[in-house]
Amino acid sequence: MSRIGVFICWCGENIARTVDVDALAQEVSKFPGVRCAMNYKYVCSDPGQALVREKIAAEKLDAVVIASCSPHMHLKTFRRAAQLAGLNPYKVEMANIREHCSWVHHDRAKATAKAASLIRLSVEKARLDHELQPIRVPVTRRALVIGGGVAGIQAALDIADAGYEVVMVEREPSIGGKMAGLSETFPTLDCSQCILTPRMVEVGQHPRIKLYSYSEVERVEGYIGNFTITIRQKARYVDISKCTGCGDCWSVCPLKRNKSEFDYGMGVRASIYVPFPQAVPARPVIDAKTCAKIIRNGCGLCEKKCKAGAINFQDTDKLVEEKVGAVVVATGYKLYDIGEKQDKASLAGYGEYGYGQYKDVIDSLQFERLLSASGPTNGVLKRPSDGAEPKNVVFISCVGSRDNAKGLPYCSKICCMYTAKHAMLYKHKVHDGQAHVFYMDIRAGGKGYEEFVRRAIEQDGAKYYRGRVSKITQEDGKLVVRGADTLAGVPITVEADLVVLAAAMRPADGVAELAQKLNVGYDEFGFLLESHPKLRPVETNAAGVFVCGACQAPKDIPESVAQASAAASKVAVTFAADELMREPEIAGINEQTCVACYACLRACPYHAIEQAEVRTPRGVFVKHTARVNPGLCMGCGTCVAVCPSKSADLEGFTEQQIYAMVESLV
Amino acid sequence: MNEAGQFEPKIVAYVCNWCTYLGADLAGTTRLEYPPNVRIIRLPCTGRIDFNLIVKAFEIGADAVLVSGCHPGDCHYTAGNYHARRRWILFRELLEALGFEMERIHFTWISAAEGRKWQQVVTEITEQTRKLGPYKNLYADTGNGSLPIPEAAPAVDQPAGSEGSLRQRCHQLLADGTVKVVIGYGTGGPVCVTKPADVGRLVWNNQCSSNLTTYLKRQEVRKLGRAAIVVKVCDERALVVLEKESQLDRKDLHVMGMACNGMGQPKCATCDVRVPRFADEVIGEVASVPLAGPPNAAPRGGAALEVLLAKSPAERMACWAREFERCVKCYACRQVCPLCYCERCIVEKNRPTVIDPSPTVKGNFAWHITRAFHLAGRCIGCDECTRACPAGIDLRLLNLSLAKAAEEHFGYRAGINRDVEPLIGAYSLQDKENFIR
Amino acid sequence: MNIGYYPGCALHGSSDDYEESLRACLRALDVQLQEIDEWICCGATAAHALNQKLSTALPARNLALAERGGFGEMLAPCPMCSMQLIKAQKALAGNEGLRREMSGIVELEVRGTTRVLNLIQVFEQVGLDRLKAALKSPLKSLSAACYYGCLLTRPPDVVEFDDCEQPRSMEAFLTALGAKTVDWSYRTECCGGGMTLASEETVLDLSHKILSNAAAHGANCLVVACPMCHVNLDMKQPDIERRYGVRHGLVIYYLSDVVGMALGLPESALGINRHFVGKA
Repeated sequence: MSRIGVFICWCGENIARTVDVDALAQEVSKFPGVRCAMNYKYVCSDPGQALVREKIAAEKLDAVVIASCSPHMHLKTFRRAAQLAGLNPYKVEMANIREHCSWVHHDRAKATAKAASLIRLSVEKARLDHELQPIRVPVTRRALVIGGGVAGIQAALDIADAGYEVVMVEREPSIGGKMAGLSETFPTLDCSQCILTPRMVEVGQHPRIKLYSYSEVERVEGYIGNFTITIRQKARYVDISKCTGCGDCWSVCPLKRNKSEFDYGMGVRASIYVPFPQAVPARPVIDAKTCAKIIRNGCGLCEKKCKAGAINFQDTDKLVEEKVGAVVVATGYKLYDIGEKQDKASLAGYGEYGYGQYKDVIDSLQFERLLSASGPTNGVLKRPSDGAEPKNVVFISCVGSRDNAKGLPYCSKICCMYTAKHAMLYKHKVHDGQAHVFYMDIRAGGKGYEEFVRRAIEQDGAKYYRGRVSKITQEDGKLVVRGADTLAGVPITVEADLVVLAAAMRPADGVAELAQKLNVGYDEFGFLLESHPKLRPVETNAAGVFVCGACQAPKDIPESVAQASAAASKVAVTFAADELMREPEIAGINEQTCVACYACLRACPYHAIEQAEVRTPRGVFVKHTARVNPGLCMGCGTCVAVCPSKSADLEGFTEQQIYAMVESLV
Repeated sequence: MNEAGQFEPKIVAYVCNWCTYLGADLAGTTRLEYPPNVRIIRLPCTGRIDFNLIVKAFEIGADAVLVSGCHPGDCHYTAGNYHARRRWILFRELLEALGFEMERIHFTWISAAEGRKWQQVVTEITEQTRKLGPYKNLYADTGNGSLPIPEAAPAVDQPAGSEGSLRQRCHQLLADGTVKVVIGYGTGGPVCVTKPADVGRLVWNNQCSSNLTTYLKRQEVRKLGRAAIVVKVCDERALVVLEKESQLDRKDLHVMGMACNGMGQPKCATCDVRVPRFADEVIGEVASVPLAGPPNAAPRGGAALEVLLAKSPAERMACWAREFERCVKCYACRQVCPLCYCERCIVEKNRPTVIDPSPTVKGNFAWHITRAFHLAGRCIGCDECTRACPAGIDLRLLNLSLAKAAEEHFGYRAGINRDVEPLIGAYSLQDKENFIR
Repeated sequence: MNIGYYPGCALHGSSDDYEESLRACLRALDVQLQEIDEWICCGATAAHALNQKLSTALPARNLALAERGGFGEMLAPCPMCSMQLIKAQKALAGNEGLRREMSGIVELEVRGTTRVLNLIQVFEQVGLDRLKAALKSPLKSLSAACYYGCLLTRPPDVVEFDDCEQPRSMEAFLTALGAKTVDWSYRTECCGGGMTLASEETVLDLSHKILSNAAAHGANCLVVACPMCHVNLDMKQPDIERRYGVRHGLVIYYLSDVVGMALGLPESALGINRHFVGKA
């Protein structure tokens, strides 16, 4: 006979407001198997947990049901509490009467009835829970960091400095990410590359960081503590171990006018190139799409010129395997593709403001390159069409952000700040220039941020108009920008020489495919899903996989760096134990009844089931059977569903438990 | 009923822990209200959800069932939902053939970010079910239809001389020790011939309609040693499936394939291949029947199945209720089927009792639904179960409906192609999901 | 080709030169227009400013009449009419309750099945190839600024026609018929609309900006597809010239005028001689 204790939480008012907790406790105490039922204001608090422990001891409970919030919230908390009281932690179940009941129903009687029903389900489940012991697995104390922007760099350095090896994979030829292309950063107006490149060099030289540049993650297998990562090293056509970075190759390359990706099309580069002078690694890569030798076996000048013999036109992609114990995803962002035509389906194309039509309408990252001292114009502000110095620059905020009609509904967070920064830097370069900013709101919530924006307006004379721009047309070489100043209540027309669009921030390309490889969730915009937005912002629902930086949500550099260090600390926590405990809620096969049809083996997504034999203790063959490898099984239960004889079963969600639960709903 | 006398539907929801459960949590955190009629049973993955659970929910009185999980590609366990989707496609066809009210079964993909979708889905299903009313027609005999009588093919003679050749060959095989026993057709029924002198007991005529491959699962027969088995092409399909499911090793078997002109059975009316294709030797020749296309192409349902599917769901349910009423749970269907080889059949499992073993309406339906579904993509259409049933239940029609579904949805015919993976346990990214919201 | 025809008050009233023009032009292209029997006012700007139901019911009656006449498609040459008709048609097609309500109010069954076309779309159905084949006098002397006005392409979700900010559908025809078109900035700017009598200065101001920009970009004429725009740009042009002390002298052609001219029809047959501003 079971001795189950049911603890009903008020959750302050969250549950008690809608559910009659006293009546509920009364009703629940009559359920078969329930030894005692009580309610308490905050079961998850210290006194609440103490109450549970006392009752376990006093009533000799053999299972516990906590009727409160979602198990995703506190199941671990209560399991630990039970363990302290000497009860096996897997004899603890939770009935979700908050998220699934008191928060979504307002009728007291109906909510209470539903709560009773939900508790009944959990009681039936708890009655049939087995005592389970965690499975111990070894842990590989190496980490994988995907993405070499400022977040990835910070995470890699923190983990490496803590004493663990880091494998960093970056798909561009150099690390540095978007920050390497910025001119100066708010609110300090530090030169971006000056503060970043020392860290980039540190990564490149760190004895514990293995950098795979120009590479991508091809496949991920395994589980926390035991991942096997296959990395595709893309063909560089340059052997970076031989190359000295002398630069003879790119100076002799005849194809010098390819659009530079690093300059977002504002500048040019050769077909063999280093993306920017401070690149790490500071070694060139050949663009196979434009190189004459690769396309039609012509040219080859760089190879002839190279004294180190580092050019290799026979290079191919290589696949490499690395074993790691934890993964940090820091893939960063890209700007919303403003485009000439509106394309709602693929979120590519605002279709307004003349972007793509007028050369002098550019986006914010392009403007950064024009401002940058090491940019295509060497920091002299020249407009793209004719190289003239722009005397009137219009900055438009929220292009694609906060837009339910044709863009993205969210705020991209950084644009108000960098637009103010742009206005200031512009004024510092063009003393007689005038910046005009069309904005909806000014979001300047960080440390020193509000003061920064005021400086742009008060000291650098930027004109701020609260209103949107309706149309941009071109007359006599000027861009006629027509918008509104809603605070003054008048339409505004500005004749600009240059227009800068603050485009929305979106996750980088290819993030959905990567997320699927890692089993990490992502929302409809592609931002990776954290475990809990408030309390677990850098963990994901895939154990051992952490996120940081703009790939999780739009954010600026200080926040990205903070999150990266947070992710690194989570990795350190993972590596702190000698062994990792795996959840024991895994599958098992009844070898007596199994007929070795191997439907389970075929269905298992983790290849965790093998063909095995049953033999007598003397070694005489008895029969074939399927067998689950407890190190690989992740507990999905697909094998249970396909097994015709139901020889396969899943701990924690056994056939007996589920049927008992369903039958209790009569 | 609630106080207003309004019917309150009971809805059971099987949801996956990582997406839909969290989506429902999100609906809670954002305080989206919805009717309180749903009871969630949390499972790690939709892959864990066997069809028996769905049937069980209706049996205990649910008025609607919702099954929900992660979107394809987002499964926390990578592929559980793909497996689930494939099973759902087939299971829905079975339920339709049985006459279940399909408006009461819902499948959705709801992600952890879709709190609003959870709210909308639950609200809509509750209101829809309220309008449909309580599910009273489950297993109900409320009509006056009857199952269509299957059309039979004319009985013809087998190729002359086949019998003689068969006896000659078997004599040789036994005499030189290639095989220790020949499992073949006798005058009164199947025979196991172990001595060369006894080959005269073997016959080959148009009474040889049964499927002998079922004897390969019997321990008594296995103990006799390496066997030769006489098969027609329809029986040979069982060998292909059994081999794919690791139940026999082809090297341990000598297959005598008999070219067949038809045995006058309903299944012969839709037969398109008359000569076994994977046998060790073939005896006899028939006039070749031009194939309509590759063996995997043409639908096999036949007219009787079309008549059944043309009835309304309530009529279909009534037909089957009448059929299953006669079932006495003798399990002859299971014994005779070559593909029912589980040593401990699921009906014998009692902790939990998945299938009610009693010969009541509920128990009979549960058994036949389970058996039919366990044969999804595996039933080769030998019709032995129908022949063996002492109560004359038209089991072939039920199995045919799933075979038709397998062919229509996946281009799959059990036992035809030795290189194709079994249907259940595999999935395709292209599996249709137009029924999944 | 046989389509329904909804002239609206403008084409039977002050802009009957537009009707003359498009009837002649379309006849030459073998497009048969059948006027909807007993059509009524579409509601234009007045109805939706006063009463939502009225603004749906008035076009609904016309759509019901079109359906009764068996028309799958209907030309409404005035963009205000076509916009209101399309808005009503879409609302009716998507909402059974609304269909029932409107059918009751207009006392005729309406299902929202008739597709409403503007003049440019009718020409698109005829097809560029047929037009090029029928071309008799290439429009070599024209350097046209194609003016769409505010309603042909907006609201984009309702009319679903051309790009709402940078439309180019008229330019395609002009180029095919041998004319030059200019790239200018006021394609979809408002001409003042129905303010002609209520606030004349607004119309003069806005239309003056349109004419000035067209001229600044090298146009010697404008091509329009809206009778209201035509009135503001043509009939009011002398007033504009007087008020701002400039000489515009820009002929305002209807699209059917230029197509008709290219097909060899005389100006008198197209009503061009009735314009206020003639060729210089």
